Amino acid sequence: MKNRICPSIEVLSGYLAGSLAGDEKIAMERHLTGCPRCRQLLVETYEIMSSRGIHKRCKKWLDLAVKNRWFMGAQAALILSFFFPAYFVQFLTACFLMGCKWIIDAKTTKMLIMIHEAWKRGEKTELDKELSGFKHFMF
Amino acid sequence: MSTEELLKKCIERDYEAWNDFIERYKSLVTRSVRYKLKKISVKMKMPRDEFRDIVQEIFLTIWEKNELARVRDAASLEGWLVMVSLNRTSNYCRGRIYAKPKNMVSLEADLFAGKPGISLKSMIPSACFNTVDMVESRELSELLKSEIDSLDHKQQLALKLNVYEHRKQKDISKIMNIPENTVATLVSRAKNRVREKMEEYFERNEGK
Repeated sequence: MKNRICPSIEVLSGYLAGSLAGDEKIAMERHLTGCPRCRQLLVETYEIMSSRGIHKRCKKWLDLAVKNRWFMGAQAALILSFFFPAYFVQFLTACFLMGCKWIIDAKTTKMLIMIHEAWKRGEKTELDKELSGFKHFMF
Repeated sequence: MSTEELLKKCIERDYEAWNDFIERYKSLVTRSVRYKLKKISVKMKMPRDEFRDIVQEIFLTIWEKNELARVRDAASLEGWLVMVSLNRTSNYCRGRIYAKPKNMVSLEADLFAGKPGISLKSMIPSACFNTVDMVESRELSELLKSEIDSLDHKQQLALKLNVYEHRKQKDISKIMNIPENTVATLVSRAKNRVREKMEEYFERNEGK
């Protein structure tokens, strides 16, 4: 049952976020020393929020790994080629293919290809247009 | 969109902002509900649809009653949302049959409404039942409680989080928003003081 003098969850969450100051903070701490219910709620909230941080960090690393999967695959194949000399050529081929895939998939490569194709067609890129305008202004 | 803007727009009843809010905090609310259900061990007995209902009900109540207007600042929004989810989940379970099967009497529950401390368990004679031991341990626990209560409120809170809630110093420092070294000092001072008082008590008793 909720204690009648328990502070609201707005105040409790404010305490956890560090937004309380002065007398309010002291009053909150005094209450927490004597109220196991509020203390438990505070600890549970902290637990969930800290586990969220771990989850976020894991997701970040996982995203990075997925993004660079071809590069990592190429590296793994290169390392394995030294551990299994019998399949050295096969691993090296796999490393080369995955390396190529990584280079082709990279955003910068795609952009370079697009610029090259546009240049071949004789179209002016955004950069060319900007540069020409700049030249006109300067000279 | 920043959290402040999102909060402000949601309070002003902007539907688009509310959809963004749900998308952003859905996983946090779901995790909080799962955590509470696991803690009160009803998760296994609950159908999947009902679990989703709780999450939906939490968001719906927040929207209908415009509860976000009560949040103090954007920094405390996530904590507030977790606390709301935890409270709603326990309320939901309390009102359902999952809480406790009917016609069952708990050994730990108080037998009489006005008299706490009298339960069925306390009436069952134990094999190691000893009146002297019981009186001594009760006296000891009361002394310990009074010594802890006499501590400074910061020391008391740090000690209770450490001993009762089994929190590490790192966690306590984050909960209380104080440096880890300060927590270590508070806890060790509190423990030393209680230890000294208890030693005095034992010495006094041995002398008798």
